[in-house]
Formats: sequence, structure tokens, C-alpha cells
Amino acid sequence: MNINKEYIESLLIKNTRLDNRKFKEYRKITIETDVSPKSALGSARVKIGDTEVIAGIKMDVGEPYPDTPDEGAMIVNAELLPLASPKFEGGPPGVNAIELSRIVDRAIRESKAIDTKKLCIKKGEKVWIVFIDIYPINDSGNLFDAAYLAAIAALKNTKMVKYDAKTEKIVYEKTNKSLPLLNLPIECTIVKINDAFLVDPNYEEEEAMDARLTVAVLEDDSICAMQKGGDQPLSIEEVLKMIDLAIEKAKDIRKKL
Amino acid sequence: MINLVMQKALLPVLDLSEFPNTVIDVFVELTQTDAGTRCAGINAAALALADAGLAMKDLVSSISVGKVGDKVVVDLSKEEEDFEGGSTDIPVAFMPRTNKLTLLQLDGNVKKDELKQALEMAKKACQTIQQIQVKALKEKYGESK
Repeated sequence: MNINKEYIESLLIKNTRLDNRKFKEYRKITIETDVSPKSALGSARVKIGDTEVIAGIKMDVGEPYPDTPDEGAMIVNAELLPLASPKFEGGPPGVNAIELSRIVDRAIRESKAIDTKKLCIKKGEKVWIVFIDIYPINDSGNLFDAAYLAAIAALKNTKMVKYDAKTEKIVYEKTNKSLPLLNLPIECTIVKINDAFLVDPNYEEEEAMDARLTVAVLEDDSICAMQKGGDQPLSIEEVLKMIDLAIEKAKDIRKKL
Repeated sequence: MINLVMQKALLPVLDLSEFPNTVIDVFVELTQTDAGTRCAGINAAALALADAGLAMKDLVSSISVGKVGDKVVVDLSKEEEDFEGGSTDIPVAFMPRTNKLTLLQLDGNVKKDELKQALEMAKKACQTIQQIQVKALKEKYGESK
């Protein structure tokens, strides 16, 4: 039983939300880059309201996947630190941590935002592997959007290191070279509570949601990744409405990068 | 991840309030895979839940739709998923009686109107799958009159 749900629903009927926001209104978004200048090649801290996430980028050299011998690789990891939410527990990543990393991974991968061909050092033998590590510091709702924004802000902030082919070692000194990035999508999460569609759900709204849809939108309004969550079903019409909302809000968020 | 989306796809048709403090374990074994595995798994699991005698509001029928090159298609094969000219995979699951989605994922690149077309095609395909599922159940338990 969720006591908040009834209260949230009564507010939605009056066209308002727990924190007095409009349905289409995000909390304040702040993006700070280079928060870990010494140890990460790129990093960012993103806050959406009280939700706070840090993302860091590291690079290593490894073997390419056999089906893409001339392309670099990307690995996204998310760790739900117990300090970030009463719901998170220590230990190996659970299903929610995996979902968070998959949602970030999928949007970047499917949009081909990283030009992986330019991360090839020697075809079939050595390529750069980009590690994106995500650490929520505080979960006050909408961790997905915050984590994704932190990941792409960190990617944009990344300065590459050099690989010395003679010694076969990485020279750990940042160069001026940025990561080869192409068109980055923006991810937007919409939740449905009763008949209302809300952007940027806070913690209580997430607890009360019926369904959730995370949509990754490219600059030309095409959709490159999507994932439904929540325990209730959605009709096709509802899905299309949520996509319209995501496309509209993605435009606003893109301006902040 | 795949177990999470399959669980969420099946959950809306079940009424678990009748079984407090109980866990229903669903095991899905994929003996041979050629794309659309989670969809096939959901179709089988929905039937298995019905076969287990659990009260269900509806069946769950699942199919993968998508775009291969610039054609919107139903039920992508592995070759189509790996198509070099670009491929979009949209696994969906419907509750066929209410036509509501319980699973929706997307990897690739589509415009909104293409997605709409794909979802309508998926809805139709899932109605066909539902008929086959119902037939299988009736074959086991006999026509009830």
C-alpha cells in the first residue's frame, strides 16, 4: 500500500504535483564537468533537483570484438551506492543497477554517438575501450535521466590519452584530443500515474507510478532507444503521447549541454 | 535484464493478491535462438502460467517488430537484426483483449510515424499469436461448452 499514491493522485486531478511543478516541468538541471580532473579522463556531476549523479570516463586498450575488428568498444557500469538511497544495498550489482547501465548504454550505442571506428589502433588486435562509470550520489527520483546526462557530459569532457605502440603501454597523460563523438541523443523519462503523464518524476512519484517510458531522442526527432518500465500496461495511443512529450522535452535539455 | 523485462511483461495479467507471501518462479529455457527470443519466451511463459491454473486477466502475446533498411517488418530474424544497412528491433508484448502493451523496448533508429506503423502491425500479429495460444490451451483441456 502506498499512502503517497492517493495524495499524489488527488493533486494530479487539481493539475499540480507534490513539489508544485507543472506536468511538463523538469526540476532545475545543473551540469558540472571535470569534477575529477586528475583520475578520470572525463567526468561530470549532474543534478536534477536533489537527484545527483557522478559519471567518469576511463579508457583502456584491449582486443576488439571478433565481429567488429576495426571498432573500439564501450562498457557502461552503474553502481547503486547504498548512501544514495534507502533502497540501495551493497554487494554485486542487482537488477536495478543493470537496468540503469543498460538504459544509458543503449542510447549511446544505438545512436552510434561514439565514432568507434576512430578508436581502432590496429585492426583485429588493439582498440580503445571506453569505460563509462556511473555513481548516483543521491536518488531523489529520475535517476535515469540524470545518469544519462552525466554520462554524455562526461564523454564530451573527455580528453584522450596516448598509446605507445613501441612499449605497448598507455601514456597516462591527457592530450588535447577529445573523444570522436557524433550525434548524441537525449534521454527523457516519462511516467504515467492514472491518466496523467509527468516528466522528471521525483522519488514519491516514481513509487506511485503506473508505467514509465524512457525515450532516447536524436536531434532530428527520431527515436534510437526506448524502454518501458513499471507494473501497468500502456496503450499504443499512450505510448505515442509519451513519445511526443519526450521529443518536446529533449529539445529543452539539449540546450543545456 | 531480460528476466526483468519478461517479469514486467507478464505481471499485469496476474492477480498476486490471492497469493500473499508467495513467489511464482518462471523458468524459461532457450534451447535454440534465432532472434526474438524474449518474445518467444514470454509467449511460452504466458501459456505455462495459464497451464499452472493461475487466475489471469488475459494472455500475454509477444512479437518483435522493427525496421530493416527502410521497410517496417514483423518478426525479425537474426539476419535481419544484423542487416548492415541498418536495423531497428522493437520487442513488444500485448495483452490481446485490451490491446495494451506490457513490454516495449527499442534499439535502432525510427521516426515516430514508422514506430506507430510498427506498433499497429505488432498489435495485429499478437492477435494472431493469441489465437494460436488459445488453440494450444483448448487442445490440452478440451473445448469447454
